Formats: sequence, structure tokens, C-alpha cells
Amino acid sequence: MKHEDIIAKKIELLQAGDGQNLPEEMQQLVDSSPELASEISFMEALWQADNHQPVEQPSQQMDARFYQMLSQTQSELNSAKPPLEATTKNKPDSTLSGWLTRLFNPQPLATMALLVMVFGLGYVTNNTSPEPTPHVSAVVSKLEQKIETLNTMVALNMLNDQSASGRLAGVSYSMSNQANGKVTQTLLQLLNSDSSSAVRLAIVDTVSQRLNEEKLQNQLLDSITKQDSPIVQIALIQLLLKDGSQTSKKQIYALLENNQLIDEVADYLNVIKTPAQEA
Amino acid sequence: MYSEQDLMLKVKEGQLGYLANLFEKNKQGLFSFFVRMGLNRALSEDMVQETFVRVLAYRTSYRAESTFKAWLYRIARNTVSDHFRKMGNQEIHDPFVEQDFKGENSPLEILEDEHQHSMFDKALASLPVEQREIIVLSRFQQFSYQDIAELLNCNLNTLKTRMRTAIEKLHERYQVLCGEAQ
Amino acid sequence: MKKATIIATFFVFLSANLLAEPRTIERSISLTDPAKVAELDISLMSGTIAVEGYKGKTIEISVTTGSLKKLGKVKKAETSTHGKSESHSSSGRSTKGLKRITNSAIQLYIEERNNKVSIESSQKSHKINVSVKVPFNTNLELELHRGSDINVTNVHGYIDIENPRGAIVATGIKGPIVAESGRKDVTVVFDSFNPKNPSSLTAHRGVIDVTLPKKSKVNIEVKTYQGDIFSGIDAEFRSIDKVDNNKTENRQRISIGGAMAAKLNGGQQKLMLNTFRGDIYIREK
Repeated sequence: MKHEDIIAKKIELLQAGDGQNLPEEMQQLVDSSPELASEISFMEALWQADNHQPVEQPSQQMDARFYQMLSQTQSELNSAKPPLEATTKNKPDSTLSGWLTRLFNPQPLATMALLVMVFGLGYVTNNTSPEPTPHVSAVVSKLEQKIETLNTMVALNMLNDQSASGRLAGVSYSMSNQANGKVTQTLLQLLNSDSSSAVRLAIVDTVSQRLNEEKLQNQLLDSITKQDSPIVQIALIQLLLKDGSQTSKKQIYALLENNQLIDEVADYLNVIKTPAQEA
Repeated sequence: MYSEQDLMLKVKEGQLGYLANLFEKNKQGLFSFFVRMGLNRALSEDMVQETFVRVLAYRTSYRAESTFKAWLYRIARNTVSDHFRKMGNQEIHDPFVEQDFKGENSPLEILEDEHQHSMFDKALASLPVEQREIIVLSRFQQFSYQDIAELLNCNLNTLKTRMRTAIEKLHERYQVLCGEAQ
Repeated sequence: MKKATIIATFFVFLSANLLAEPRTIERSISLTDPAKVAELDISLMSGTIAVEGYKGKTIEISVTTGSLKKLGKVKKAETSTHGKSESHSSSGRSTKGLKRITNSAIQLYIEERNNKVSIESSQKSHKINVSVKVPFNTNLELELHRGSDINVTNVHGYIDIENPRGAIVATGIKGPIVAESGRKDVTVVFDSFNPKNPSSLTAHRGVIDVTLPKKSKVNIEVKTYQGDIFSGIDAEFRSIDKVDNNKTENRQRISIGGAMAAKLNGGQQKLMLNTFRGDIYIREK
């Protein structure tokens, strides 16, 4: 019996972790060889040493990166799916058989055959790919929830970055996560308070996709007078004038009339507005 | 309950969402593997990411002939080998240097335990990559000899010899370090 | 084992005579961990900021104070600007029999904590010109509230700059960069374009002049309300809003309009350029 066999057996027992000893024959060999006995003791110490040592944990960023990668891959796959192929127009069969086929009006027969084939295929396909069970749906749903929670965490974390470029990346990341109330709330808070005009401009761009929501429009309207940067103020105004409701547009012109806008913005608006826009 | 093999087969079919399940089950183990192989925390996280990127990329080539774990760690090994090859030499990192040891032991016991762990880790980190790897896979990733042999593509007897050599070397280094410390 | 936190704080009090010449003070700051990336945070009320990347591992700081006005001039300014009687200060209290003392003490705080170096002064009355040499990969956050210009050269970390009153010039950088000026121009020359995070240059009244390396993969988004856009890059700008496109020679001249976008070399990361009044120049090197 070789030493390596004994070591292999010892590792097997240590991994099992049930405190079993080596078989008698092996143990005798260990007892008779100080060198081997020392190795075995060392292995026992090594296996037991880590039992109460806290394991280093990876950061949440690692999770976030994985889920982002997975989400991107899924999107890419979805967008790469080939469009449903248009039914090709059948050219009339100019051969003799085609002529004969048309002569004897096989159209209804062809249609029937096609229907049988389609139903048959459907039957076969359904048999080999079973419908997802409720359990699977629950698992998938749970996974989706987890992905959403992680996405939210990542977005909020990035929006809290000390560097403007980090927060800018956070705004980009939030674009696909706006359904989450917390993310939207944070974006709107930053719109009023972030020190960087670039971040605030990016937020205007991001929330513009949801302008059909009345509550959001009102919050954007409120934000106009909170802006000290003419570029951000005009970006908000331009967005609401272009895609906002009539009420929003009226309110903007009221701000203009009441001198509540930054001078440069007011001058610019006065130049570009038309009577139709004010109506 | 789906096995990891079943989950990977679903991923292979295009149901990519199940990869999240596999990620959650294996991320800690993979991360620890890279850390114990001598990479620092940031690099280990990068390697985990890279491994799963490759899992996605190679999903169509997955065959249920071996366990998912074996397939995953084969990819992980290749990932870390590529890294070491690019770096030219090994990046030795003591995985426990930044950790706080929190336990209920007395300060002296904590010191002694910490000392021992530190020696083990230093000894492990000083081994050549190939030897370090089989100890990490066996001791920390709980791979059986069969799994490791399959992973390393070697026969069982060869593996047994390599393991013996690795443990001897580790023991030797450990004794030297303890002697130096004293 | 936790690394020890080393805090080195210098309080620099510069006390100058009323007729004193500008003074220069130099400090060399060692980083807690020279192997790790450093961060430099400068916040001044007035003066200038200049940061240069170099091969070393320490932060080399040079501070020069601006020269002070002569006493006579100050007195003259007092009697003429207040518009009130000489015996009252701007707060309305009696100054009869009192002499105005110009506050010549300058406070500048320099602190290093875990690789983050902060240089701060909230003094408005004196120009403080700060010149710093940093390791190449240092991250920068620079703010000059009422000062002159900010210059950055050969720094490869992320850069955040706010300069409401002065110009911003950043050359030999990799980004990402978020720079905003109020009145003056923003000029940026990229050595290479770091795709890690988006970059953004904003100039409210000034001009933006940006130069990109030819092989950069960038999604450029440009918006100006009253300025023109000049492009010398090999990528076509498509308007998001209606604009007029006139091509002359090798340049594309785009008339006043809303947002324009172009993908350089297929694009990858965003570079956003925004002005209110100023023109935008996009160059290739």
C-alpha cells in the first residue's frame, strides 16, 4: 500500500467530516512511519483550521455586474431574433402538374393538408416541451424579482457615487430601471440637488421617456424654478413644451410672464415662442 | 427541485434566466477559489465575472457527461490560467490580510488561531500554482479525487502522487514559516 | 489586520504684510498607500488651480498667494465705494477713530487621509494659486468658486471640474471627465478616451473645444441652444431635432439646432457636450 493511497483515503474521510478513522491496516502503517504520521496530523490541522475562520465575501458589485451582463445578453438575444418571415408569395406553378393541380381545384385540399400539418406539429411540439409548471414559474418569478432588486441596489449605489462621472453612469444605468419607484424618486431628488449640471441634464433626458405620467410632469414643472443652471432649466422647459400636456405648457408661460425664470432662459423663450405655442 | 445539470441544460436551450440560479449557488465557491489561488479581491471578482461570461458564451457546448461543477471549474481554471499567463508571474496575495477576525475566543486564542491561519495561507500561497490548485480544489472546494482527476484530465494514480507531493511541500513550507516566526 | 489610517494635516497660515510680495509655499505629501490610486480634492474660492501628472508617487504642492493691494488704494476704495459717510462701516456701525485693517491672514488646509488629499480654502479676499503634481492615475475633484482658470495636464484618472467663472483646460487626459464652466471656455484634449463611465463637458456661456484620438469609440451627443457646432471628425452627425446641414470643404457645419449625435468608430461610451450660447468644436488627432 502506497503512502499516496493513505493520503487519498484520509482526504476522503476529512471531506466526509464524520470523524471516521483510517482503516486499521492503513492506521498501522501510519503509526509505523513518523514521516507519514506527521503528514496526517498536518492534514487534520489544515482541514480543521478553517472551520471557524470567516470566509471572505465578494462585494455586491460582483453580483450587480453579473446581473447587468445577463440582462444585456438577454436583451441582445431578444433583439437579434429574426422577424417573423413574411409569407412568400407562391409563384404560380407553370409546370404541367401545376396546371393540372389548379384545374382540379385542390386549393381547399391544400389548405386542409396544411392545417393538419400545423396541428400535428403543434401536438408533437407540445408533447416534447411541457408547459412550465407552477413551481418553475414561481422560481423564474423569484429570480426576476431578485434581479430587479439587485438592479435597484446597483442603480441607487451608482447614483450615490461621490464623483459626477460615477453618478452620470448611474443615471445611464437607471434608464432601464425606472419602473422602480425608489430609483425614480432618487433621480428626481438629484434633479433638484445635484451639484453637476451634467448629471441633471442626463436625468432630464432619462425621465423624458415617461412624460406621459402626469405626476412626473408636475414634478418636472416644480423642478424648473429650482434650477440655477440656464442649460438645465431650458432643457426641462424644452421637454415639457415639446411633449408635455397643455396644462404644463400654460404653466411654463406663466413662469415666463411672472419673471420666475433665469434671465437668459426668459430671453431665449421670448425669442423662440410663437403665438400658437402660447395658446 | 432542479439539479445544476438541469439548470445548465435549460440555459443551453436559451432560458438564460436560470443562469442566475447557477450564479447564486456557485459565486461564493468560485470567488473563494480565485482568492485562494492567490488573486486579490478585485481580481477574484473579475475572474468570477469572466467565468460566467464564458459559461454563457460556451453554453451550447455543455454536455451533461460530467457534473456542472466540474465543467464550471474547468472554465474557471482556464480563466485563471489565462490571467497568470498574461501576468507572466504569479500574483501572490494573502487572502486574509484584510479580514477582521471575529470570534468568541479569548484574545490569546484569537492570536494563536490567527497566527496558524496566516501560516497556512502563506504556505499555500508560496506553492507552485499546480500544487496550490489541487489542494484548493480538494480542501476548500470539496472536490473528490474523481472530480479533480477529471478536471485536470489526469488519471487517478497520477493525481494521488501529485496530491502527496503537494501536501508534503505545503507541510514543509509551513514548518519553515513557523520556524521563522519563532 | 487593518491598515493603519494615517492622517497628515497641515494648517497653513500665511500672514503677509500689507505691502508684501506674493509668497510661495511648497509641500510634499506622502500617500498612505503609494501602490493604490490617489484622489486629489481641491476647493478654492479664488485664484487658479493647475494639476499635472508625473511619474512620482507623492503629491507635490506649491501654493502661491496673490499680491495684496497697497494700503493707500484700499483706503481710497473704502471712501469711494461705500457711498456712506466715512465714519460708518457697511454694517452701519460707527468707525470714527478706527483704522481699517486689511485681513492678510490666509487659511489653507491640506490634509491626507487614506490616499485622499484635500486642499481647501474658503477665503474670498486673496488669490490662492495652487499648483500640484500628482501620480498619473490620480482621480481629481476640482472646484474654483470665484477664481480664474483651472488647468489639468497628463492626468489619467477620473476628473470632475467645476469652474463657474474661469476657463477649464484639460490636456493629455483619458477621462472619464465631467467639466462645467459658467462664463468661460472648456478645452479638452484626450490622450485616449476611457470608456469606463460617460464623460460630459458643459459651458454655459463659453465655447467647448474637444479633441479626440482618431480611433476612439465614442457616442457623441451635442446640444447647444444659441451656438454653432463645428466637427472635424470622421462620423456623421444626425440630428435629433430639425436642423440644417451644410457641408463645406472637409468640415461639416451644422446650423443652430437642438441635439445632434454621432458615433465615432461604432461608438461605445457617451461623450456629452452642452452649451447655452457658445459654439462647440469637435476635433480629431
